[in-house]
Amino acid sequence: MKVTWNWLNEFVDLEGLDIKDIEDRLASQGIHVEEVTRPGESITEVYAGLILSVEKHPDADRLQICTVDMGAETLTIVTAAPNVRSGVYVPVAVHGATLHGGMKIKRAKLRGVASDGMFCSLQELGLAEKSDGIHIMEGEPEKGSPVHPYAGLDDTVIDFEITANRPDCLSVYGIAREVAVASGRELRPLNRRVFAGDDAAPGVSVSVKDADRCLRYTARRLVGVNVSESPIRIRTRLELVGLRSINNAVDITNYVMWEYGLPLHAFDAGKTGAAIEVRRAADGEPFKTLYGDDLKLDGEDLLIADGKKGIALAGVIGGENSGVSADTKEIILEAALFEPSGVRATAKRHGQRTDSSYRFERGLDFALTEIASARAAGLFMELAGASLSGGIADIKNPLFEPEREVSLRWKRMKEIIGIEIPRKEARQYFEKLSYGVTDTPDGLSLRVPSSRYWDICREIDLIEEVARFYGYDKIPETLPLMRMRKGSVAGEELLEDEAMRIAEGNGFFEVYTFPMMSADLLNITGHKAESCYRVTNPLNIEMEYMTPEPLVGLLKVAETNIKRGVRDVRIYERTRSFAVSEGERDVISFLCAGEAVKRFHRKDETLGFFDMKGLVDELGKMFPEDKREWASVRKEIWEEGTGTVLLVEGCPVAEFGAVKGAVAGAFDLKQEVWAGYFYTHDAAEHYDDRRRFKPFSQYPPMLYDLAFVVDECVKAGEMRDFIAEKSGALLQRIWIFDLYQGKSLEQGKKSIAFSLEFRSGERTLNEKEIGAIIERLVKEVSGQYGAVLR
Amino acid sequence: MKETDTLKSLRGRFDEAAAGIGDKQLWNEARVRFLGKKSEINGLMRSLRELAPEEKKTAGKEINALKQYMEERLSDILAGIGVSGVSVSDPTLPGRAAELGREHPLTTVTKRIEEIFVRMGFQVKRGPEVESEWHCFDALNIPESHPARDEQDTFYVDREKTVLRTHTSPVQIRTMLAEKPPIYMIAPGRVYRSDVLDASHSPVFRQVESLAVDKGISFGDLKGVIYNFLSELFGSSVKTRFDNSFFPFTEPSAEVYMGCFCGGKGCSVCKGSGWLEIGGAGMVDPKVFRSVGIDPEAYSGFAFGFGIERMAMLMYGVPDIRYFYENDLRMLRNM
Repeated sequence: MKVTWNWLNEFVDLEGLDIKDIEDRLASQGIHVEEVTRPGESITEVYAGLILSVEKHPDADRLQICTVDMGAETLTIVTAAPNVRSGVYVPVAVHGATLHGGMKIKRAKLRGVASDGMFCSLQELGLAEKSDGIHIMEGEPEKGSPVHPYAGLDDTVIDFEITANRPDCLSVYGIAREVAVASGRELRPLNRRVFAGDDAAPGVSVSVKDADRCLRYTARRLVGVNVSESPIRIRTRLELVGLRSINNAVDITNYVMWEYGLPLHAFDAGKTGAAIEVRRAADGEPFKTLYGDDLKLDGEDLLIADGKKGIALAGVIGGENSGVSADTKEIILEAALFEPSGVRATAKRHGQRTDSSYRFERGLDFALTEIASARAAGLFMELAGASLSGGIADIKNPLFEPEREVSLRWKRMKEIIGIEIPRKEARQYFEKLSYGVTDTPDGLSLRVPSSRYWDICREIDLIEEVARFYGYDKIPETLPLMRMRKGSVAGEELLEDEAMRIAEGNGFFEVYTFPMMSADLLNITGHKAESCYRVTNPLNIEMEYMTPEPLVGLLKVAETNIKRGVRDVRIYERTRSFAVSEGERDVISFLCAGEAVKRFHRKDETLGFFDMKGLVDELGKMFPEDKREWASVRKEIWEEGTGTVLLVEGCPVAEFGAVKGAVAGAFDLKQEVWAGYFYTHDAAEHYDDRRRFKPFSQYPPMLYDLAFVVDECVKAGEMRDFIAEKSGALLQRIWIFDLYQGKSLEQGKKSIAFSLEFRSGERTLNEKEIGAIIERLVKEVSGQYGAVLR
Repeated sequence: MKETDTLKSLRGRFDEAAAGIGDKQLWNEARVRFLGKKSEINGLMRSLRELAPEEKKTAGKEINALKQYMEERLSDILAGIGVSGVSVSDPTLPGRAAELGREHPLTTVTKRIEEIFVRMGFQVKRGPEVESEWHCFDALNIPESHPARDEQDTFYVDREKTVLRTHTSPVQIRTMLAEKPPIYMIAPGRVYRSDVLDASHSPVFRQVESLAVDKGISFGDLKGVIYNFLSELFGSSVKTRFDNSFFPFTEPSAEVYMGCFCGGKGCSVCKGSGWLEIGGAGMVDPKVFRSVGIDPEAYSGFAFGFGIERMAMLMYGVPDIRYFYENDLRMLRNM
């Protein structure tokens, strides 16, 4: 909400103050200054001048040479402007001037004739988007005087941030009310201007059919209207606050809306019937807005009609059939109060969000209607030569009480704020804000001014009013006296923490991605769009679906890093997968691609299967060994034959595979990419963080290494489990430590080497007994796998 | 040569060698040379057999004395070298360590925040991200008919009255429906707004919500808890400022600011104001209490919600929110 400093000064005398002085105080009241600008400062060295004579340029048809009286001197200005004539005052940019947009003016020769400067149009003064000719100044300004005060450019524009609960601040007067409190200066009261004949028979007959939706409707008839350009001071103000000047009729309604906060509407009475009717639209009733949008109305829409046709969508937008034009001679001026939620519903339904609906849907001041109507009528008389015809029509909802009574208990106020605020002080705040104040045995009874009707309806709203004027910063900090509660830690959280530690211990970095993907990627990864949540208003197609496949986010991260020359990509993310049938599931996704770059203790290694398997092996160790099993899994994202799943009690807790070329290719990843999931949500059901002590042997171990040559197709893990099973109770640990395939072996064979650790809990083992076990083992393994001891 | 001369000479050579022992390798060499199986002293021991009994006795004594001397001396030297024994010729060589990954800076901040609140006695709660409009708006006093509903920049989901939650506040509602007061909870989590990605906005970001509902909770308590939280996170010299604001679910409402690290002088981070906007706060609105069946006359409460990225940016000096979601590993390794 932009206002200007001079405009504010019309309602509260701020002489000697600057916005800087009250900015903090206003902020603590909840009115934040967003920006302060002085558009006039970008325009310099422009003065009023009287054109004494105009002569044709000898060598150029389109140029004219003007002699200009600047008071102290006379200048020669060569111009191409078509509307120059002698005897008019114009803004003259002299040598060294700067105009809107940064244009610099210098003395120059134009087709051989020296020009001391340039005449300015409103466009060059930053007061119009486009101008046809130079600005002819109003009245007789002092020659050589700066143009700024004349044009109203010696002003400061302040942009305020207004929260949705403060429609009363969507106006210059409303902000002045807060500024008055912040600065301690007096606010000038808003009085309705009374015109002779106001109480005569109304110039317009009005009937309101739906008083719940139209709480008040006033209308006046103005005749002899001369639609033309607005005077410069009106134009400048509108431009400075971000409104465009159209013509005096439109400008007046906009000006009053900005000044008082009530949107007004002017109908061309020549195009409407004599009587105004405020009624619901018929279902399907057509309506064309003044911007030419064809709407089909709903029975819930409130319509301003003239007996035959709809002429405005109440509080939202006028109709094309009744708009003011250059030929308008007679006007019906509407100033009304419409019920907020109805206006909001209509504006939303038809996609017609206007400055008017924005204000009405936040709730406006009942009392303002007649005040704003009189203000606008006065301006029509002053600026458009209009006169009133008949009195004012004013239809009120008789049941609506615009000034409600709300009570405040001192005790409750102290409970909520935390300290006792001096009662006298609290009383004063309300008085300053024009509340009607009455003492009650335990507090105050307050008559809320009609401007705050929509915002202040409960005791808590009054408490906030006191707190914000007292100043939040003066309320001392305390801590709650809290009763202790039962504390609990969810198993899933512990599991997740543990999984993160494992991932990080294995060199994986955590990343954060957006859990959304495109329809294309859904398709490529084998998901059906209808089983996923779709965002109906996505920012872009990459963010249309909530992801059922979170590792897609990791592919993007891998792509970014690899493109930037980061070669070692090991990443994980704690996130959720989304699907309509299952809802949101916590998962950890992980991915590796690229290479572990060579180091002092290690050579270059391509990241792949073993890195993924190592991570999943470690994650698997969170579950009891006898409940874990590995299986293959097929899934659209995994390259055929690479999908591997870890089951705990038959339930998948983790899975991984090589990402299919088509999926990785969508991210410009040409190398091997391995990825997987840890299903935190499902795994939590099988997770038990309680640990049990197991006795361990105090006797020395005996270590044996065995290498077997077997067929290529033999699975090392199976063989290990077989050996373990056949070794008997003395075997404590067994692990695979080597795998070899190569020249020294027969084609189709491989060698797998195992380390076995034997120990007894009761005695030191002797070589003989272990030797016997080994001998038997070798036989059994040979028998089972056709293995040959290497 | 006489026996004693031989021993004297051996002792001389031993002393010379012993003086030069600087590390474990030299020590080992000396031990093998002077005391090993093939050492001179062992040879002398063996040659004793050939001597007459009388001579054997004296010579044996002398040899044993020397042997004992050498053993003790070597033992002393070893103690001097220390257990590690190995010399470090180049301490700048890289060690052998597992290459560790690391958690994301947003996780670090979130964990710090959780820890601070848990120590104050708050519980950590979570909730769905695909949320009903009722939990996300209506129950929080943001009805369809209120303009504040438009300010949420909501992403809508193609299910009946379903949205991507625009804030973590629906977790308040879920908690108050599930539990009776007293309630002290925080809810960190991912939220969504249809904001275009730029240096300070992201359509997906994180918030932490806090809610306290109990008898006698006041605005002063709200200020106290926020101050304690911020001073734990940013240091005890932190300054706070509370300005009046509006949120449909709190009344009175406040915008919370923290003094900028520039000390109020004004810098590029605070855009010259000396203050940093941290989040919104206020006393739970009676309408919210009624929508979850808590009596607003019997209980009062406060709630606040802060942006996690915002805090992480301030804590680590990250200039652009996009870095968090881009995940350049060079940044993640260094943070």
